[in-house]
Amino acid sequence: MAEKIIHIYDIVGGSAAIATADGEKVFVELSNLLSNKDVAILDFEKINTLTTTFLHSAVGQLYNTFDSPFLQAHLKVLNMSQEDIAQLKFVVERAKQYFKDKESIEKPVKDVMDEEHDN
Amino acid sequence: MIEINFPSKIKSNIDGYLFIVKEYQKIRKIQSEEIHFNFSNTNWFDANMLAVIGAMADNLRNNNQVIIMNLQPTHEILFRKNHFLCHFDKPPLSDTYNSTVKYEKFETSDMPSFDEYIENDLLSKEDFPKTSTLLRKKIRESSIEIFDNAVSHGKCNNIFTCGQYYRGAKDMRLDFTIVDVGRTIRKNVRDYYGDQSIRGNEAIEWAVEKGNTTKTGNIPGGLGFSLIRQFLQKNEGKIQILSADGFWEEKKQEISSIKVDGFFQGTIVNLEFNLNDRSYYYLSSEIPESDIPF
Repeated sequence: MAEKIIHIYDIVGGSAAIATADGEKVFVELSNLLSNKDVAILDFEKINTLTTTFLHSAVGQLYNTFDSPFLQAHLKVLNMSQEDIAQLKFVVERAKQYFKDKESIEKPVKDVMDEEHDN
Repeated sequence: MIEINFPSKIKSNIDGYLFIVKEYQKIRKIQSEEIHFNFSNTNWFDANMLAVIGAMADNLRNNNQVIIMNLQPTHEILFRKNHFLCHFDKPPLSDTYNSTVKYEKFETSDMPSFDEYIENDLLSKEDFPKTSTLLRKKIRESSIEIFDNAVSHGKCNNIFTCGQYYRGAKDMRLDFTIVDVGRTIRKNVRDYYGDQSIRGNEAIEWAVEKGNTTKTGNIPGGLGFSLIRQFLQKNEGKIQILSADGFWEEKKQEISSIKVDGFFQGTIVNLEFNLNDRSYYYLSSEIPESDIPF
């Protein structure tokens, strides 16, 4: 079981990890490593802005494919500040709940594009 | 010619928002008109409200001509310094003391420019107090979360922003307003539940609760508003949201939720940060990186 480091700074091209699209890039890299049963280490060195949007995309959606015991054994983080760890913890809790209850949470949405009236 | 006579005070409160959105609702479908925004009676102006006025003017200008007129000289100077009037063919003025927050219109696809704006135009001002790194980080992240929310849920093309610093006797505050003209929170929640009787304020109440999101698919959501609320409660700041016929505000942990007599085709979010806050937010107990409960 190999350990591989994913440098967030390099993937997002700077110190701000904020966009869903950048989170998606991290998710794809993570998914590839985890599918090979490697250990993935997310390195947040030099990241000074981090949003839940990014974390939902990068880490949250892993729970659609991988279960919690597997991720506990195969996912690690490095160089994360305490406030960012707290944020990641919220995202992880939310993702577990989201996918556990997906059937009841996610209802078919009728995406009505008609104009909204003021009543 | 259509004239809108703005009131003596344009403040970021329910009356201020309602005046603007009601006027907009009355005329938003007209075409090929000259529309005068007349500020001759206006002697008080919360500059962050320019985000709302700018959004309204921008949409009207798709099919009409909008003319800003009779601003008080001090307001005219301020609005040239913060570049609002540059959108109406007035040249900018140098912001010598670097004290204004620029009015901006962003493409929704341009989050990097928005982030740059937050860093350079909001957090790096002369007037910005020597505040904690953590507070700056939280202001930046909260603003980006609201921007992303507007992009994801508003399904709009542009986002309008403006800010204002307020010096009180004891503290200093920053109000930062973000506006999108697009799908309302009410419409998203109504469509999600298939219930067309949900009121605007009820939809906002739902949207700001932890774990609630109208997002579907493989990327979870539903934390943005709740974490901002949590932060602003500790910061002793304020959050106001107006969307469709709902107004919702949380200040000092007191919530007002009102179905308003008006309608806005979009969402206005105003965040007020207490810049004198020296709190250290999260660390009730340290979590080692190795102990994150995946």
